[in-house]
Amino acid sequence: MRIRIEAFSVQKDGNAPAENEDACAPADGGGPREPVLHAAVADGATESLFSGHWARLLAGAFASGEVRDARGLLAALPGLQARWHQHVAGKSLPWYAEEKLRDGAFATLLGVRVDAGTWSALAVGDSCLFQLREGRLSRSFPLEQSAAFGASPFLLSTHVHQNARVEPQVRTAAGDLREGDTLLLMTDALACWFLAEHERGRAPWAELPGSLEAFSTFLGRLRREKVIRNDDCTLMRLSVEA
Amino acid sequence: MAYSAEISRTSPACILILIDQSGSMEEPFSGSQRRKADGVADVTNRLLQNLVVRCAREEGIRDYFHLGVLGYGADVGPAFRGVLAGRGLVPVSEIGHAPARLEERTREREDGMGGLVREKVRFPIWFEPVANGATPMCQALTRAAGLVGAWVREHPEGFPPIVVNISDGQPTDGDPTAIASELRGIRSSDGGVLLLNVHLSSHPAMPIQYPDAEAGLPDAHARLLFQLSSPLTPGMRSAAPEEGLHLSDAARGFVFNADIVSLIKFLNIGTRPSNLR
Repeated sequence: MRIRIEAFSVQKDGNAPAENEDACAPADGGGPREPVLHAAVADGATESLFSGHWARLLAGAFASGEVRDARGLLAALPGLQARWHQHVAGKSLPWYAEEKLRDGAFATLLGVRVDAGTWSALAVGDSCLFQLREGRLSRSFPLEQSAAFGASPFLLSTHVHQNARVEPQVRTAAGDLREGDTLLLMTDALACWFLAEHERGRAPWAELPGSLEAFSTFLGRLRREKVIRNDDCTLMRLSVEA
Repeated sequence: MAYSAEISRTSPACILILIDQSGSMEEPFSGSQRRKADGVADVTNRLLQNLVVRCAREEGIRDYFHLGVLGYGADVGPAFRGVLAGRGLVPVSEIGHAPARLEERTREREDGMGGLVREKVRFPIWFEPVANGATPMCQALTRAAGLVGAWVREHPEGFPPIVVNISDGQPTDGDPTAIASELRGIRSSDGGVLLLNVHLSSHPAMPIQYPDAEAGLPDAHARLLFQLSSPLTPGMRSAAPEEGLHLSDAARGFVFNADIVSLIKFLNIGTRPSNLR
């Protein structure tokens, strides 16, 4: 069993690519891999400073295998928070950035580990994992309905003092994996569209493109039709091959 | 659905603040040495500070909002001083870069472990207290209607303008009911202008936030400002519990001797974590 990874990320319409606060890892996708495999997406909150950097730290830590479960996340957080603070420390900032930086940065994390025909996932926030099997949506995690997406999820903070609140917010799930299955990881706007389409009896996975260029064109159409919220969008596709 | 237009740099929202600078603002709040004029300046500076900080990003300030401040007292007109003097609606980035001065303040902040830490912060001051002349609220609302009317013509599909009137509720140039109604009637395709009132009063009553009826308001000035105020939008009401507020469907954009920053937090310019306070 081998896994092919594809990953695409497109910034919010009206923003520059460098303003994309989503992260995914491994970022380059790449060819088929042998399990054990770790993949993650993280979505930095727009209303915080240096949240894209925080999202990259979180996704990178999961993809490196450093964070395997809720306990691992809690153990890794202080080190990641220290790295974020090192990144922002010593910058000479205007009054408004200084004020905003006191709030810290926030991001979601969705990570999935694939090992010997099984997957296990952890999530904080509203980035979602979908499992496809035999042309059907067989699992949806951690949210299962499009109506469950709100504008104010609990997110991972760069503030150490928030860590005590993290554990009850970590969701976990696991399942088996067969040849022909697909796992899709998405940040919230895309995941919300995906679930809404599925609720209408459609097969939204069939519409998801296979290149960054096509993904960008596809999002442009959904945004023009106002069927998706204008937000950074990231898609990771893990296809199980023979 | 109304009041759901995206607020972004390509489709910014407009917020116009009207500040009562009349002689009656020289009076103190009930049971306090503090003058109402100080309260107006403080509410205005805190509103602007909050809006600028919300728009701050690594690269600077994003222009999600265009803001204006009209003063009314001896004169009615734009109240910015310094480089912004005479300007009507100004992109928030320009406001963030042009406070009149930065004041060093000490603030207590929860440390997350049940304690408080004291920290020094730089607080921007755009407005100093002014108390001089009559209270031409009708004139101020007329000027506001002109400014936001022009804005809506330029942004016909944008989030409807928000007008925040900060006063002690004692107009000297007549009954503002008709002009306030006209102002609220200016519409983009996303809804009518939202008129919010902050009532700073000498009356010894407890602060009130977003009431849904006149009953229980302390005096005729409060009842007048309540009547002028728009109902809160569904988005504002649904976000209120996060601020510890539980509001009815009829709640209006009116506060009595209280802050209004909580309302501005509800303007959605992106994901706001529930654990950000």
